[in-house]
Amino acid sequence: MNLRERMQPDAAVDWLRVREDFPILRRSIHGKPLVYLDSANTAQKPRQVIEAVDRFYREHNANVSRAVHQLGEEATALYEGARDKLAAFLGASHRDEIVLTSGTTMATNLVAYSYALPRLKAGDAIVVTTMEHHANIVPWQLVCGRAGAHLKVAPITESGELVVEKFVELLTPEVKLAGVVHVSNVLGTVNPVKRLARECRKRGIPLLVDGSQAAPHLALDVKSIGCDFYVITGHKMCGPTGTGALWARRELLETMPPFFGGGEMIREVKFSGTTFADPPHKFEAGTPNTAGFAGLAAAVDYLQGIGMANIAARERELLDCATRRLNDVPGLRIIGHAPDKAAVISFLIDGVHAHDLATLLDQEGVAVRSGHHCAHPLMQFYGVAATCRVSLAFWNTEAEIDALVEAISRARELLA
Amino acid sequence: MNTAGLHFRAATAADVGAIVALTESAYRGDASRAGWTTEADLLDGQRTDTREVAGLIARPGSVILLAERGSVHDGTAPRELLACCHVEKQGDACYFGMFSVRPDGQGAGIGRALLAEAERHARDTWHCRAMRMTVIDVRSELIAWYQRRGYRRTGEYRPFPYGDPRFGIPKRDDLRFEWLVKEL
Repeated sequence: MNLRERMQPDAAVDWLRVREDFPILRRSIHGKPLVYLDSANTAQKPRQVIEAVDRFYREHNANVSRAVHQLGEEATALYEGARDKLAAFLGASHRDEIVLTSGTTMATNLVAYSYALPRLKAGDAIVVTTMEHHANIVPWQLVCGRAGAHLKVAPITESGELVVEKFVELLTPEVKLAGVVHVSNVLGTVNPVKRLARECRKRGIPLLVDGSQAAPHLALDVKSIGCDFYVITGHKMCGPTGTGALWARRELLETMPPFFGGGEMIREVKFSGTTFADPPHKFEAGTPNTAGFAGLAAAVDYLQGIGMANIAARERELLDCATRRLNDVPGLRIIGHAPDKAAVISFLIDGVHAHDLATLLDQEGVAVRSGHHCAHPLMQFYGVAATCRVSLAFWNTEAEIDALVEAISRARELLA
Repeated sequence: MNTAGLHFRAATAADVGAIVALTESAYRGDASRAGWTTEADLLDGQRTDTREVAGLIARPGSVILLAERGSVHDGTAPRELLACCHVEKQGDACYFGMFSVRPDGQGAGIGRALLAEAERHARDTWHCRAMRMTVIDVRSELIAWYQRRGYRRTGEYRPFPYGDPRFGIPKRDDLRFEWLVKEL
């Protein structure tokens, strides 16, 4: 199926039946049905993923790539199978372009230390945007600090959109890399990564796209985007924690030295010198989270089984519904109004602290996130210490949005 | 490899016209499609002009090497220009560029021989430790050819000169150059 087909929603999905795949959603919290609205923090897991992890330990547990026995073969096949599925999910040209990591943070740090640091010198710069998660700020700050380089930050508008012209203006010759979030975890803004990649390419500047919040919600094709690095995390896309991936062009991976050293990433070790395995294995030192990747492979199957286009369309419905309902709440202000937006709504209520509100909502069984969302600079841009954030997934319902709004109303009465 | 009778020499001002014609035929238009690799699908317009070539010949630490066939001694038989390249000393390394082999002569080892001569010149005459070049990064078949000659990709890029028609008119808006390097 090509990307155009993947982006078209097809036959109606029975969303209530899909919801039944998530055992945790049957839980009660403080005597109330759980209303989980924190998927941007971490997604809940369908039974297919839970069973894949369980099955791994019950039936296939062994170390990967270092045992000739049957279980070793099975574990290796599951681990490498996850690489195949992620390659297809991301539209990679080749499975060897997928480095399996513990998540986005490790993937970005790998690029920071293995690609950027050896190429940075004093006076160089890395471009990011105001809306980045700390995971796409701090690794660059660390390597810039070592090299005497600095960060340049592209601004956003009050509505939460990247000012693309300003981003492009920052792409000057001393810039050695740019890092941009695909979908903001706070604002929901979907950045025009294809356009940004084109502008970076023309200037000879590699682009890393942080796809943590995009992978669970959008059909992806890294070749079509035209970036050089794309990083994702498994736990936000229905997979287990401690899983993720870096996609990079193969020729770039070949130029990068290993990041971690240890077992499984070598060709030959001598005390006089060690030679390394080819990419991607030279970046995968030590025993990996094999059970987790068995689960992530199941998560990819699960999402693709529903269809990313169907997921995007359903989440758009839920976003529209939640935005409409929240806009009716007196004193509630939504932060982030980009026209192209994922199902994330950050908001503030006059006179109510975000943590207090989240605590009271929890008493009603409603789980939302409050705080800075690992995006201090963005909070500083809006001049707030914290926001409440509702993040929706395809398994959520309009009834849950009603429950959220009712819980907010009760909380407001208590806090007024 | 059919490189018998191949002679190498540094170009002079008298060669400018022939070099421009050869380079244009190797890089641009339908003429270039006769060779095994071309960038005619990526770029229109010119690759170079007489002013640029004359400048490269006149500049100190810069040479355009020619590969020719035919007698160079008796001065009677016409010499046939088959390939050319530009080599320039830049610090400890040399820059290699404008590599052109006549399209109907490609695949016969002429380019390989000229590249080796350019490396010899860089190493023995200018005492350079490395040869560097930039290649449009989507020309994977050309990059693979250089890799077989010992060059490695660096993962470092330089911008394509968009908006400067002296270097051609791009048919795509996402072109960039990648640096290749070989230690000599």
